[in-house]
Amino acid sequence: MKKITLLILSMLILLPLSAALKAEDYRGFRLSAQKGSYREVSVEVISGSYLDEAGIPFYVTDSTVSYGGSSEAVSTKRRIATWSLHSNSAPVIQIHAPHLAHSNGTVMPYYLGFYYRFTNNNNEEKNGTIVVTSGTTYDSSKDTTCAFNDPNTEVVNFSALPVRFMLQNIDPSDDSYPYGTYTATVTISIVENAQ
Amino acid sequence: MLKLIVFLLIALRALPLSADNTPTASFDIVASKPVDGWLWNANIENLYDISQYSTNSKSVAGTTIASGGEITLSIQNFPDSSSGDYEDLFKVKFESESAGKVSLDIKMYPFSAEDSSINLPVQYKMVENRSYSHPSNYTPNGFSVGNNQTFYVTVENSAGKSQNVNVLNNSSIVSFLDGNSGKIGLFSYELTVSARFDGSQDGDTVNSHRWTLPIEVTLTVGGE
Repeated sequence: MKKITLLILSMLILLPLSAALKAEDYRGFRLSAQKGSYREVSVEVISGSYLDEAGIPFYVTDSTVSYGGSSEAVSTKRRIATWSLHSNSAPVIQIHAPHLAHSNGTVMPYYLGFYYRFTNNNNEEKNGTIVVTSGTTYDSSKDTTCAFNDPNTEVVNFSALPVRFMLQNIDPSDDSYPYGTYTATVTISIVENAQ
Repeated sequence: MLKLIVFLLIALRALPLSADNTPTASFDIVASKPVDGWLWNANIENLYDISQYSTNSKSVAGTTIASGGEITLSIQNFPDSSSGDYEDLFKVKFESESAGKVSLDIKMYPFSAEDSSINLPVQYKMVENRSYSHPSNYTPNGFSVGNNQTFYVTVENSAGKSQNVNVLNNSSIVSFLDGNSGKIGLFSYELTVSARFDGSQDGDTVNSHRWTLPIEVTLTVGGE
């Protein structure tokens, strides 16, 4: 009887060790749901070492900045930011990208490439790059190549996909552009879908 | 009544969320072209036996980019007004493009004896050459070009005199950018500073002292 008692006590001592809940043994994630339509867009700039507080910096003569070439080439050029888009109502986006402007009025044209990738209602992966030419306002509803207009697209969900930048037909060696700072504020909006 | 108030409060709380119909994100792009693309080759060239001399390295627009300190030179054979000659001391040179303004200030003194309070008055002669080139022959307003523009400054006492040479129009900003062609011009500037004694000098006085000739050269670029 004494042995049985000792055995039970020993097992009771061991039991808490084997049954201890350790945080690293568990993984979880949070699910959230929303009834009705939702639309959300955000941009995260990639920090540089200079003028961080003012935006995305680069030098015109910086070898990492590409210039010239066709607008299609922008999809492989310098990555300056990431963007995220979440919508369950076939989003229509507008991107306003004014030229980079110097304080003396000189403007510098450029391209932006917004890469997207999502799965449509038929479980097909859609991807592509929205190319925005500075000095214009891009409207996805008028872009026949944009998969946002696919009839089977309703939910668009992606996070942290690259935004790329390329100067437009600028040869920095021709001294056509004065020294100094050029700035532009780019705005992305999800507008009400008229459909 | 209380239920109605609670209902209204809840409805008001919900209103701003449902009215947010246009989600928007924005970011800034900042590009800069380094100042090196605007002004370069700024230097002060030593044309005489200057034993003490220093220049500051080129810096950003709006600051002094070059200045010279005190110089010490041999004056035993320095020319005077009777000979009519001048001795070249140094040359200030730079090239510039784009909008901006440049000012060059030279502060001149007489020869002063290191071991005495006496001075030897000096005549300074400055010869300025300006040139400008543009791919489309565009000529901006507000500045001039020309060779052998000459300034004379005579300094008799240790207080010195300052000669400010506004190499571009210092009261307005000159743009070398031609809006029609989109091309930019290149402005080259050169100033040669030479000196001689103002009058004949007594050889005994010259030989019995050590002399210094302080000259301060300040070349400033940019600024609004």
